[in-house]
Amino acid sequence: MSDSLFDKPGNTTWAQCPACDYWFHVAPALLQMETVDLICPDCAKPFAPADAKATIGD
Amino acid sequence: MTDLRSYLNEIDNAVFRPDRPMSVVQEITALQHVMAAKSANPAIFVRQPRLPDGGISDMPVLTNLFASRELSARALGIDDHRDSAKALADLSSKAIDPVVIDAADAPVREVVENGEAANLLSLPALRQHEGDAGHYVTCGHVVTYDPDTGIDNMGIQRLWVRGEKLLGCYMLETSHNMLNLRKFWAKGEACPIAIWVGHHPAVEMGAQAKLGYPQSHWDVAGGALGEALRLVPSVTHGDKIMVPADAEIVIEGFLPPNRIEAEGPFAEFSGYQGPQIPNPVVEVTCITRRRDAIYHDCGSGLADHLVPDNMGMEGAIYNLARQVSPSLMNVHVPVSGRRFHAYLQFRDPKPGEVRDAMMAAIAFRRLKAVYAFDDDIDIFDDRETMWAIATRVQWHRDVMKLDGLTLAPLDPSAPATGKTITKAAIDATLPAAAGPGQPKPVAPRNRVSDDALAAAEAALDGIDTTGWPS
Repeated sequence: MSDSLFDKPGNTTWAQCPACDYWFHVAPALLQMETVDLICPDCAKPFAPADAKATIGD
Repeated sequence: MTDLRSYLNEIDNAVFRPDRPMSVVQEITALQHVMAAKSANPAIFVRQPRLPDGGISDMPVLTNLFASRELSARALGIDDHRDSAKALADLSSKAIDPVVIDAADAPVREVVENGEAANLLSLPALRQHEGDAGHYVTCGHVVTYDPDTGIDNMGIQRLWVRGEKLLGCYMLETSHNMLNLRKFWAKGEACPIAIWVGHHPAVEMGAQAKLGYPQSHWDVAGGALGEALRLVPSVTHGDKIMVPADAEIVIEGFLPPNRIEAEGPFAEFSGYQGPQIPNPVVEVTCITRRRDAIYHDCGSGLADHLVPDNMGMEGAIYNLARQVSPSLMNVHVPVSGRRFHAYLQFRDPKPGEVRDAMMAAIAFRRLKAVYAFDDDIDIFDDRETMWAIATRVQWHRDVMKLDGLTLAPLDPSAPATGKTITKAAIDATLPAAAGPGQPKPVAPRNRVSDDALAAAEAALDGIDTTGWPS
């Protein structure tokens, strides 16, 4: 969270697929849902948000 | 009978038909991008869509149908696309009640694939852009109904083909279809759904009219077409959900209660990718179609996607602003601003009227900014609107900012936190003249005489200007 109204901190959240390392754009609301798997757009693997290889911006 | 194929016959010389197979994976969409860069906007009819397995689909793909404002307006019976705001503002008053016909007479029932036979993978749905989660039905008109009143609702929603009988379905939380879904789910019931693809473009645009809730779209779509829409009960839901008899394809099914799954990413109208988000899914029960069905695709984020909806917005915004401003002449929602900007045009507004009108217009949910111009500015030419902003606006005086307004959906610059945004209204009109017949108290714009213009036109008459430096 930025301290200044005029900073540009960005607004996107990313997840990395644990199977193929592909980074994709995910809404924070989905990352926070523990019961809904993410689906990798590249290899189609479903995985729990907690199992993402890495995340950015969450 | 008026339908998609009768329209394609009418505009035959405005349809590009590639003479080679084109892949449903990005190639057809790339053709749209290349044409847009050349400012060429024909409809594109791909007779040989190449599927991911290398095979050629029996079903042709039509896309770019709405990329041209001129063609889209003419499909609605509007001679000049610049008149679309007034024409579409008045659309509800021209409603024509639909008629119900026998299923045996419905072209969309020539082939019925029910139960096990239903297979979404038989459709040549496109995977349009890099990073898209998969193949999407992009021009599917999703029909649900309000369980309290039985009144239908309809809207285009992106649909991810996830298997033979499974679709991910993007439903905006504030959409009327989502209101209907929530009512069914509150009762623990699956929400019935039908999705129709392909019809005369007037029907497709009329079906997207911005209406109240609950309010049926069928009569407005018929009014846009100029004749009663022919409907037929769906196979799965009977007369609870009617579908257009003259559509190309209908997909039927249910949204099972509280089944939420990941959907997306998908390249969106903003020109940026929308993220993967939680959404309901559709379990497909039946697909009906014409024997020689045409699959209608819509190029997401391209003029094909923006033009019809922006024209509908122009009608809705004209209605909002005109209530407080009799001097409002016209409204344009330009493709350059996606769905975030609206241009209002005035003739001799009274003091304060421009600001009143901008405040009324800015309430439209999707807008982030409204701009006001005089009637000497062509609001359909961004070179002129930018010139007016550069030369008629003083930023301390002519900009209004309003905080805490509704967030525009899928705005890629929206803050990560918070549910509201700041919107802006920019007044690029000139000050009023002191009295009738007097010049405005500002510098006059540069002009050449009509005679000089005519002489210049005559000098260029018959000259081939292709190849000249741009």
